[in-house]
Amino acid sequence: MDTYIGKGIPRIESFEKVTGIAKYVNDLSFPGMLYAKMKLSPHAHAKIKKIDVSKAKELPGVKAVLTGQELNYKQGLYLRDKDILAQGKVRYQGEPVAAVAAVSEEIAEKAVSLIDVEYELLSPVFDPVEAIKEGAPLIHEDLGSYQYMKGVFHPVPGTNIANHHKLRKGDVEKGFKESYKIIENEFTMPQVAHVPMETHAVIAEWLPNDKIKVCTSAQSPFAVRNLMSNTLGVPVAKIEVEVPYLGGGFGGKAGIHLEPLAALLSKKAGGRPVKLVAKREEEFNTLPCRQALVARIKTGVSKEGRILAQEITYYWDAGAYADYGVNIGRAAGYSGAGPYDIKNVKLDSYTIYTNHVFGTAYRGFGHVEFMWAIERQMDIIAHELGMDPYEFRMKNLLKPGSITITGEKIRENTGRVDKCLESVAKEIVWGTKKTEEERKAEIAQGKITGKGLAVLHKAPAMPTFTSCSAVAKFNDDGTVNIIIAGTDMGQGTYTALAQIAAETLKMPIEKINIVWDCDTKTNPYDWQTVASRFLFMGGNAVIRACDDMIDQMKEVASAVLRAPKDELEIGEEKVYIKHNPDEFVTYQQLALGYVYPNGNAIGGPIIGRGKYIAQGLTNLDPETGQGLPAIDWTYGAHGVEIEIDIKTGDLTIKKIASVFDVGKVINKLLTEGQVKGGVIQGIGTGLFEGYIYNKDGKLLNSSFTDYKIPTAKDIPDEIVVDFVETPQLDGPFGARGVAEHPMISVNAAIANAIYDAIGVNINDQPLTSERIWRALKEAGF
Amino acid sequence: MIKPIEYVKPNSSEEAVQALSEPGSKVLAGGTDLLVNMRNKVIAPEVLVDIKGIEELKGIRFENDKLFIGSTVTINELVEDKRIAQTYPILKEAGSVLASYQVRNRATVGGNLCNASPAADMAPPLLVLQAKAVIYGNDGLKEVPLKDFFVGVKRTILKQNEILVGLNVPVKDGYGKYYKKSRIKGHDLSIVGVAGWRTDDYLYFGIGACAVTPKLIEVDVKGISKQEAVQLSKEKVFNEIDPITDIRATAEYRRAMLEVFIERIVNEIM
Amino acid sequence: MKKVKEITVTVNGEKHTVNVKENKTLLQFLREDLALTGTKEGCGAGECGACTVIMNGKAVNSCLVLAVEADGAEIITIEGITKDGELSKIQKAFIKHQAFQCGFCTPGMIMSAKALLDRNPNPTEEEIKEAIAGNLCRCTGYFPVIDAIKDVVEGRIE
Ligand SMILES: Cc1cc2nc3c(=O)[nH]c(=O)nc-3n(C[C@H](O)[C@H](O)[C@H](O)COP(=O)(O)OP(=O)(O)OC[C@H]3O[C@@H](n4cnc5c(N)ncnc54)[C@H](O)[C@@H]3O)c2cc1C
Ligand code: FES
Ligand code: FES
Repeated sequence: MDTYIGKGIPRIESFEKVTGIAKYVNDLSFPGMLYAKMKLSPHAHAKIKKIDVSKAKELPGVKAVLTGQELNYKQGLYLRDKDILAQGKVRYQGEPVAAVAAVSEEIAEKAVSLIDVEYELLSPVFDPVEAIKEGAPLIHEDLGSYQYMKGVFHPVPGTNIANHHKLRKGDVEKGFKESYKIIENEFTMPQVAHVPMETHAVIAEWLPNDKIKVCTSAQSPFAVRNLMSNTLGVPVAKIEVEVPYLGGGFGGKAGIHLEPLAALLSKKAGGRPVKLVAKREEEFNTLPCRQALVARIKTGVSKEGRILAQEITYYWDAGAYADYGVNIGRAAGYSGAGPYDIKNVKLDSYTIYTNHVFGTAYRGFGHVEFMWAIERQMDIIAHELGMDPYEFRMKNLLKPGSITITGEKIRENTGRVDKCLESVAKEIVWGTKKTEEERKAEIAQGKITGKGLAVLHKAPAMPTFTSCSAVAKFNDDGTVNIIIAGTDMGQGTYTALAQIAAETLKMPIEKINIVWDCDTKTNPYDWQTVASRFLFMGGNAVIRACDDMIDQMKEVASAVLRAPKDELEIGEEKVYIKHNPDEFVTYQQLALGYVYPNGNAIGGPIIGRGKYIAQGLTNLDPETGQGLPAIDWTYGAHGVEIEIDIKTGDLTIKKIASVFDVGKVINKLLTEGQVKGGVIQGIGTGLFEGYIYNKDGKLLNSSFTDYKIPTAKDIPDEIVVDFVETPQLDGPFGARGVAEHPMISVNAAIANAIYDAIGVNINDQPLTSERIWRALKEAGF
Repeated sequence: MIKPIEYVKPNSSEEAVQALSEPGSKVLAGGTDLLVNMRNKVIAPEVLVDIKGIEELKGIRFENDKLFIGSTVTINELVEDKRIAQTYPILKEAGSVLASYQVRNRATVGGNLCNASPAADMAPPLLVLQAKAVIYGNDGLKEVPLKDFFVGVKRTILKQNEILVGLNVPVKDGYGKYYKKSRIKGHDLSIVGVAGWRTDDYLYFGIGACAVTPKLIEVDVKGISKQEAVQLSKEKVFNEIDPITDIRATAEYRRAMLEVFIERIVNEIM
Repeated sequence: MKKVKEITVTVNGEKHTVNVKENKTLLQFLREDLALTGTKEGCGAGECGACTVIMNGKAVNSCLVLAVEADGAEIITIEGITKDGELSKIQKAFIKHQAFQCGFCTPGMIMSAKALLDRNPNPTEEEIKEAIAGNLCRCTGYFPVIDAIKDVVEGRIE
């Protein structure tokens, strides 16, 4: 049989998706269902003096009205700091202060408009650097009493610092003293929205027996169940969470969001199901986005171009809540120097509360933001040293034998960032400089071209004890159902898992069914589908579940075939004797138990179990950040060729080449698709996206009218995707994750190309045509 | 959600005007501005008067020395019209960069003008073509030069019970060009929109997204060189237009793009 | 005011004569009254194209059309382009190129592609991009969508 690994197999759910029969949360409805709407705060920071809901309650058709006063709960993943509805005060505009459930959307909307809220304005703070200064308005007065994951996070009560992650490696002062040059820069990045095309949606039922049923657009049903239980004090066993098809997540649907609110509304309405679907504006304004970043980097280099010391401070604008955001600060703390071999590093990563919309996980988990800073800084250093940025990077990249900033040793099989860089450089023909004549000719045409490179790395950012499990069971006809609780929100993992199962069981993929609609009541545990970990961990769990089936089949077949187990082999849906393949039993014969001709039976239904838990990870030392945070590292690089209109600043990407060391490509078609989609999302971040607030902290671009994402007309003229395959020894068939990586460093590669074209460094995002136009002015065009 | 409304669909202008005499009523053409504003609770009309069934508001007709564009002609009908493409490619250029393909299947020329957004893409080219708005109301039909049609941000001279029947565009030889600057290449409102038109010894500029209304500026270029024309055009434009800063662009960038487009246009059409 | 109106509309070949609320959009009517949930809402404001359907032969944003405006119209939705269980060429091409990931934009994207190919069986790459630029997709980066449509144009799909 041909191998399934590496094949370009279309998504197993393709038919459902091209015919419109795939059902997403908002496509479902239940008898007696109510519709919920939220009342949002217009202020960034204000005391709630009074909420009058009497008129809303009186409106016929209204079945439940809730305000924060009634809801003494805190929700959150790593740091439980978030109100379900604002309690006592609001911390960002767009924060829900009250909610209504009614028999129709129309009535719910009307009821919300009848709620009167009286506010007393508090002074807000928006800039994370300002927010940690003495005397800045405090956003969470009670930070000291919040629950959080101890030993992993380090909030500083009495300040706006939700987490301070420290890393100390070597002796930076010594490194700076030995340096030939010291280069210091500041880089910034605004908040960016995830923009899944499906907004957050949930239907919840809180039955009179205190059983809670939730159907939600979440990336992880088990995380929702666990966090709902923590938040509401309801035992896990009484909560059922189901996730049907998901219309994209990108991190924004990880953790917990509107589920507790919908459930509490249902409770108040006597147990009728309540549907709450975020409007697009609420998706921008009320639900979380990606954190903004101010990055300060000071680098000492030798004359030969080796980085000797680097001091980094990351100021993360967490916004009003940091329940998930603290872990982004932590990830930046162990990964934040990029894939470089640096002896002396001092890094401080502060996750800071402000009165902005709050931040959360977003594809790349901090890496899009800080790699922007690192990869710009690397280019700037190369230019200051008069070195080629490619050569400079090659000199400093991590290689087998290097020690990472947390003290991890890079091995032959860790992955090769240098090979990725080499490959993209070749693809864009790096190194051929324009002649002065060519440059003049370009300028005469009104266009100027440039090339840029950038590298990236990322490991899954997750707790040390993250685990996953899978069940594989035979159906009567010898087909296999795989049940797993990671979700497939479009990334195609279910298809890859089907390939892995088919490969392991040596049977046709058509006979493997990955059970859709992920559900805590029937599916075995999985932590969360985030961090590019699902293929790695889920893949390992599925292999083990299939191996368990094989073992059980051999056990029975050994009796049937009267041969020792270790002389049995599988293939073509049969268990046979290695040296005598004509002696066999079929999977189907074994599926539910083998029956002898005389009617005797042995075995019984075959159900395989597989599990995987992150191995060898340690918490990081609170003072030095040393330890082992990563189960695997995926490396990559981008090379871009751009063209700039010298009058308008319009930028066109002529070509982008992206290469990743994925260990092993499990499904070429899907992996390439993942990369292309990620690269375009990276271009969105790079070129146009970002939250814009007015001075009072009101979000001005909370709809698609002014929050622009790339359309089909905004893509590069050409995209080239390739892979390096350095097998991950503990990865399924050698694979590692590549879900988030494609969007990391795209922005930096483009800015580096802008420098190449016009000789101006742009250190703030996004690279709008107006910003490029300013740079052109600066360059004297 | 759109609040409850009543929907009427008159068959004639008279009926429409009558229906519009009710307070709280509003014309519905393609609905691509109106329904969005209603959803966003910017406005809350009680009665919508759908004018798409009215014969005299339809169609594109060339009649001797003038072109008539019915107010309910959709942007795509305009863009796909062969004679328009030949005679007034500038209208096609502007229409092609207005919104997305689907929106253009509904969006009407009349709606674009009556909505009176400073950034309305059809306004600059129709201004430079000296279009006249044909208005129907209680006193019957009247014609008003389009430049006098806009009176403020989202405000026109139309009274509550008046409708725009269409546009009369004098047919004259000339060369034109429309440039639009927006943030992305896909559908987006303009930061700056400039239409330029040359007939005889005059240059006309229609400027969008730079002032409270789309503006028409006339420049006499008799006997002067291209270079001088560029200079003079910029002067004239900046005499009347002082762009503002908003979230889409700064005033400075708008000014710069105005200059770039004026220069490009003069070089192309003179 | 009764604010309800009787309309007759043909959806995917089936004629419906029904009373609809006058403030209901075509999108709500299709999803709520006819249970055709294939057509999605991504913004409700004409910006994302997830709600694209074909109305009298033209791709439109069904969130910006009132159901009452569709009186007498012929509507085709994603549910109406599969004939007797056989996928249309566009759908097959979308599968071949994996022109979707999460699938949420897909019904609208396919309807835009169909409207394009119905009016112009030989579009250029630019025309393809123009036709689908009103359909936002956060997952695919559009390349596979364009490749899929090109495959249909160039006769590579059976
Ligand atoms: C996603 C999206 C993108 C867009 N992009 C652009 C763009 O790039 N450029 C641009 O210019 N516009 C853009 N628009 C705005 C809009 O599509 C256009 O302005 C369109 O031409 C409006 O026409 P309509 O027929 O839909 O008007 P409607 O929404 O029906 O009406 C608009 C206003 O005009 C009034 N009205 C309409 N017709 C008449 C009439 N004959 N007599 C009296 N009053 C009338 C209505 O009462 C209403 O107040 C966009 C809209 C959307 C949803
Ligand atoms: S839902 Fe209609 S365009 Fe977005
Ligand atoms: S496939 Fe997810 S938005 Fe297009």
